[in-house]
Amino acid sequence: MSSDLFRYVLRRVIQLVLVVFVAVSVNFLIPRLLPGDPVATLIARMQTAGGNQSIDIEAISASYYAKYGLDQPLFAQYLNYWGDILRLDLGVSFANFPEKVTLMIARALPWSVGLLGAATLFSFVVGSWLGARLAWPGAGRLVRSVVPGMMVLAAIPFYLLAIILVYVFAVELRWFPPAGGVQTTTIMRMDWATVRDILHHAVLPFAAIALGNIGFWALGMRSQTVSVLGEDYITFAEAKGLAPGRVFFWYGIRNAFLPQITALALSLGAVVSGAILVEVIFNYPGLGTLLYTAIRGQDYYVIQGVVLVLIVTLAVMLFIVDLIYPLLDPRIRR
Amino acid sequence: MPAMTLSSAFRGGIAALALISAAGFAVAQDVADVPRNQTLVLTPWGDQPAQFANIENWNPYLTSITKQRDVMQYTINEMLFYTNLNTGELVPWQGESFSYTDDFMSATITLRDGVTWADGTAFTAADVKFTLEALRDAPPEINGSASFNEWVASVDTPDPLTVVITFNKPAPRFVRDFMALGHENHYPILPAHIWQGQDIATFTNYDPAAGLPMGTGAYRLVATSTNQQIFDRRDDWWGVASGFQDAPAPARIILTPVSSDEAMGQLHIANQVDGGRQLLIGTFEAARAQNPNLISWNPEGPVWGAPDGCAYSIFFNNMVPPYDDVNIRRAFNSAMDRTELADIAYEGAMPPNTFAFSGYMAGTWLTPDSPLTAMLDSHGVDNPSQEDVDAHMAAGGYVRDAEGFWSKDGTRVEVLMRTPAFIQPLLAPVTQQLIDAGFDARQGAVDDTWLPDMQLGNFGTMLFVHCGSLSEPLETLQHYHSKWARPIGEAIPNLIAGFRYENPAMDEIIDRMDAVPASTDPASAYMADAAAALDIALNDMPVIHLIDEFHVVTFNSTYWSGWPSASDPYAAPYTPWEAFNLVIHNLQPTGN
Repeated sequence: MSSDLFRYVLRRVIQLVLVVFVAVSVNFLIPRLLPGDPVATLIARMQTAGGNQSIDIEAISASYYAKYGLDQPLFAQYLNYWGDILRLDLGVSFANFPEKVTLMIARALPWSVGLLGAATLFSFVVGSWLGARLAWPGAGRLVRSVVPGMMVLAAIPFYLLAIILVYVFAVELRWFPPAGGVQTTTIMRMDWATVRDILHHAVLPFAAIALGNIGFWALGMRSQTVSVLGEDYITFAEAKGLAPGRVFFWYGIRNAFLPQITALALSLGAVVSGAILVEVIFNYPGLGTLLYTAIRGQDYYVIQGVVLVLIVTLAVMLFIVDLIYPLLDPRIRR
Repeated sequence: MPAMTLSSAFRGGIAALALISAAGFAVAQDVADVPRNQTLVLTPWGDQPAQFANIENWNPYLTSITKQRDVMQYTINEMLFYTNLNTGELVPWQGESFSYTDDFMSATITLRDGVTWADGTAFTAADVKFTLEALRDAPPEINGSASFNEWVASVDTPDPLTVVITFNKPAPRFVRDFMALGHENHYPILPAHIWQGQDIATFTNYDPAAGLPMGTGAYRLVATSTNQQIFDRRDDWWGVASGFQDAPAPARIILTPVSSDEAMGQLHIANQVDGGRQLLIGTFEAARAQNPNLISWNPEGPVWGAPDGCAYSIFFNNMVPPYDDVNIRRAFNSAMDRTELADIAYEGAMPPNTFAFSGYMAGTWLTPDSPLTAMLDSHGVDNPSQEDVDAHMAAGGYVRDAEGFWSKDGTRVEVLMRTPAFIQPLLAPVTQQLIDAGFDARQGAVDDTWLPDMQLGNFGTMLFVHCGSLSEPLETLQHYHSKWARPIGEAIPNLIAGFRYENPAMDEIIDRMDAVPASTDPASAYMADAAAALDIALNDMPVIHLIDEFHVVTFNSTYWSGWPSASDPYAAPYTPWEAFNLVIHNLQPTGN
């Protein structure tokens, strides 16, 4: 590794650490600056959950302040918070006491990552290819007719697309299940039947996200490819007599791809926050649903935990992109 | 061979992905397949997340998760007695009978012989004693601890089937309230041989290898995950062995999460659920058009559903101006057109209501010759009238300002009407009716800030649910007692009594009613007191009741018949209530 490259990587590492430090600190402070007392909310929720009965408010309140460490000075809480994070302990849910937030996120994360990760990558690949083909001279009729349709779908919000898909394919045609991650009666085992059931249930939410995204990626790629088309190296490559496919992939797509990669990193980072409304509509047990429920229920520790995971993931994804960029674009190495 | 290898590798890869996706699944033990037509699939009641939490915590007394464990009452656990709220009939189960001493300072419960825990240990008076004393001595975050500490002095067990409870004060309704009614709160008896020596506040009651969670119920937990809780029927259930009851028909009960009304409707259409979460009337009718096997309590709408035991109401904060003025409260009442509210907010699916006596009171307490019926009629509460609004406001010294809004001493009465999300449909029409009556009213934000604000008294008017009488008038009237009121800024101990009302005359009446058993005899002192308390409540109107909370409880009769209904009212149809166990034992397969 050259010293320039070493300095480049070191700078990025320091940047990552700083971003995470600031983000974690802000993430600690914001819920505490919000109006309202989370313990009062928790107890009031207990009162509604408990129905028509009396409870000893003062005693419960004192008990929960101690359990959550909220009876300590703010700086002591801040230090405890860092200590907990370093132990990968994101605290205990207010709404679902005594469930650990780490556990809640760990259980929801695979569903969101599986669904959104796949849908994002799929739409990225298909959209980028369609966008590049559309901009490239000699695009076929199929490409020219599909892309505008995808643009229209991109203008429709995910949740609306989700409702339309449910109505057509689940309620009317009954090809796919309308809701849930698996059939209600499926016994989840590590077998093909379970996998098939999970995939079957993922089709509509996957389609809602992917169909809405392909147009977005196609649009970005098209404009990048158009600008690349006018570059001298394309003319030079064609003048050299290179095969059109080689010019398209190695001289066109590769150069037009760079901004797309950055956008992909941001999208993949956001995958962990889930597609909130799509998950809610499909009753899908991912992080989006978890975050939605936590926000509605003022479950500060869960909100804090999900946001933290989101921030760290985004920072790490951008860090990875920063590391990959020199490989894609030799100019950055210089 | 190479193709098979490739295929296997592909499947292995997908299975690995599935493994990651199924990370939230904790298999209690190997779970056998059971056909759909022998499986009862239910969802939790109400607005719930799409994932279960605390999946390995089966402590039924931890207040923060009691709602998440609203499946134990018809699977793992059973109750001493059940009550058919439709008729008031007591249904003995683990217990056979109970009686009180004349001074109501003691109750004797006789247990049924032959009841056993899932591990074969006999269910005895020692278990009841252990549970009551554990709850009495429990820390505050344990469900019911404050109440048991208030009432229970000691528990004796003269023999294995007899429990004698001694109270701290006369308790003529203790057994009914805590061991038989089973509405929102459940107090199951715990197996002493399992819970002895455990910390009731931290014990998770989850150890599949040791048979936990353990109860006397006809089902055992076989798997728990964020997506499912699976219970299989026990062939060794005590009810069969003792000749008490046949085993329930469903071989398996699955509880699955559902996050919205729309999702529940879709699951019903696809026959993926048999019951659980209620549907809004529009969703029910749309789903029923797709799946004619969907049924509710009544065979026809718009009032398809059954009473929930509560009334949607306007809670005034009676400690803050201007709502400490009875004239304002009465004027609000005269501004309310309840029929219009029911039609606009709930498409007529919930009937208008003038007091929080639930529909379950109708056949016993609100008969035509009842003094309570006469009292309700005499007050004419449901009588929208602008003239009456004007008269009440004039009596309070209010006049209309230049813009036509009610004001006093140059200050306009500004009404911020707030509500929890679950009553949001009422917010707009109630606010509009107040505006029409001359109030400068606006809608508050619909978020969860209502909770602490109501608890601490930081509100003026709040749409809220007044859950009260299922069995007797006192259950509602007790909320008018000053003992629940607290100064502004201090948390109230019972949210249902969140209107912060103080009236010594009312306190005296309620204290008298509290010390004697209920009586439907029109000539009884209890009935006279109930009518007097009702009179004060309807005069003072610290809370205005608008609509009887009815829910379109929805059952799917594709695979199971025998659901409770208006024509077969053997139990109230609500899954979170204890008596839903009677429904489980009444279901029969349709053969589909």
